[in-house]
Amino acid sequence: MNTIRAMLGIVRHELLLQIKTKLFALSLINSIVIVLLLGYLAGLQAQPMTHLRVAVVEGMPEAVVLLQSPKLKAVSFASAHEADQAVRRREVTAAVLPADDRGIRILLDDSQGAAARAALSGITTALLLTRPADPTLLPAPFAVEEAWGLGMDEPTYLLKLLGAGLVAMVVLSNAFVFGGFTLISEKTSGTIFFLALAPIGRAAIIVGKLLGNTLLIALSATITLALAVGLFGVVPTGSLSLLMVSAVVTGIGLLGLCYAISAYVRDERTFRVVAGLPVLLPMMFLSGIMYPIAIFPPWLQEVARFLPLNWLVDVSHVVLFKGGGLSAVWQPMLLLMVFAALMVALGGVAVSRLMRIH
Amino acid sequence: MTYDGASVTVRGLKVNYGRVVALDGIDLDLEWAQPVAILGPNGAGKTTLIYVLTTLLGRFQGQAHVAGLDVRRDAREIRALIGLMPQDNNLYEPVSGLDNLVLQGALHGLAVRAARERALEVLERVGLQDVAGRQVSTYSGGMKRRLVYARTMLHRPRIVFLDEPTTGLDVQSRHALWEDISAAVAARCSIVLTTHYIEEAERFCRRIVVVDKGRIIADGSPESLMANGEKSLEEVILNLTQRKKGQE
Repeated sequence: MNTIRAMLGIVRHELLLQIKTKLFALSLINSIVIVLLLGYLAGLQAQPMTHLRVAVVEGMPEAVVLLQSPKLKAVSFASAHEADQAVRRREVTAAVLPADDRGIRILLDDSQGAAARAALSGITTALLLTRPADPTLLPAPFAVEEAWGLGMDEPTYLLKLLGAGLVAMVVLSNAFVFGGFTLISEKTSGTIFFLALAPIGRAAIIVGKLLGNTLLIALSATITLALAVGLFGVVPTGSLSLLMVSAVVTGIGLLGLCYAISAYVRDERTFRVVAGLPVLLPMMFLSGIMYPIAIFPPWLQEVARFLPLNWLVDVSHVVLFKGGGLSAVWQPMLLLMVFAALMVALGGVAVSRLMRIH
Repeated sequence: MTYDGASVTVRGLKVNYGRVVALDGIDLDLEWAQPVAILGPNGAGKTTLIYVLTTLLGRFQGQAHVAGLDVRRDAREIRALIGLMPQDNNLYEPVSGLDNLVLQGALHGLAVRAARERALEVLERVGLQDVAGRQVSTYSGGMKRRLVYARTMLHRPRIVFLDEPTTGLDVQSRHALWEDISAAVAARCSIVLTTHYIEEAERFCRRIVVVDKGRIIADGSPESLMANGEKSLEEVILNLTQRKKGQE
């Protein structure tokens, strides 16, 4: 009974501490800002860039097609030379010019990186999809189908993708703040020894802390999920409880990992270096939260597959987009549970050691 | 737990921090309800001795018993009986003074409401009742020190270890603190005190243990220690520790 009261006391205290220090709110806001800002900027290239200007030459059959296309902003020039010069003066991102063999030549302003690629993609898509005035000139039109019906051409498409990643991001951020910085603060202020004087087992103290922090992670995940649905237009197609369980399990694992790291580092600055560079940043950028893993080179995709946060993003995509149930997510969920069990054991040993004077 | 024997029994206690010898074969018996001061220069081993007796430091040689319980084997039971006021104000500064004490109550098995009632009672004793709901980070150094004392006494410990309890306190607060400690002693609470304010130890404790370089170099009442004509306990300690240096 006393142990349970003590554990509940620690849970209550952890909730108070994180809310009073505003770390809970800051971590939540930071996660949303990071995902929206970085994710949105990086993801713009996946958006339909209908504002990209492309030069076409009057009289070319393709010019008619491109001028009709809603995929680009085609601008007509009287001659190929003028269209060519428009590219070189950066007035347009690309130009569709006649080639010697009656074909076409696409001139790209390759100093514009992703925009040039998007222009190329827009031109080829428009040429393939738009029904030309003379059907014999171009391949027959064909249909494009979306597997999950997310509406790739809709302005909210990117927000939907980022909304699905938000839950994972907030779990990661909270675990680092609650499990890392807060424990280091307990160490430097000496409050960890105050806890160590409690007449209960070390395990009860650690479980109490873990429960308190996990409750906050669950609360954050719920808030971000509500944002994803309410503001970003995500329409969940699977069981949200599966996603919440996965988020909580991931949070527990990451808390254990952060407890373990913070128990061995001297101060907050060292924690930032030790945990930030090799753990936080790879998880943030390589887990599919902001960028799809498919764009990585194969070797980096292999690395990404070992990141636990990637398993949570998998569950998130299944639940929010693909309408799968437990049969579709049992594998990543099982991996997350194994990860959580290992990390809690590791973190528990480390914190228990921390509560003794050596 | 037995109240018949000694409150603390230590035999052949040795502690090393790497190559540094912190305690070098300490033997000590402390009676119940007798305030004892452990004095000595910085680094003498006073705090290390307290860490062993409060179960925080597990790696030592020898035997240590608190209230008849083995420090190694019965650590949880001992922690329920003792209170430690550490040198540093190790408080949760972002939350209120009251919340710090409610946590202490909960850790000692009190329900939140009972812990809150007990906390308010102790806060009144140390004169912090009006600021109970304020964040600890807004407290002065002296207020924090009083709060640490309140937390130490909240669960009504039977043996209290006070490590430099009055550092940073004004005269009124010191006086109030010693009054409260005296009341605890009257209720058969054992006090183990370390302090650099030797006059406080002399006034409050009937037994003085002087430690230097991890060894007990003197043990007795203030009067018996000043039997060679020294004018104060401070002079005794200075003589003892300088003599020891001279012998080396």
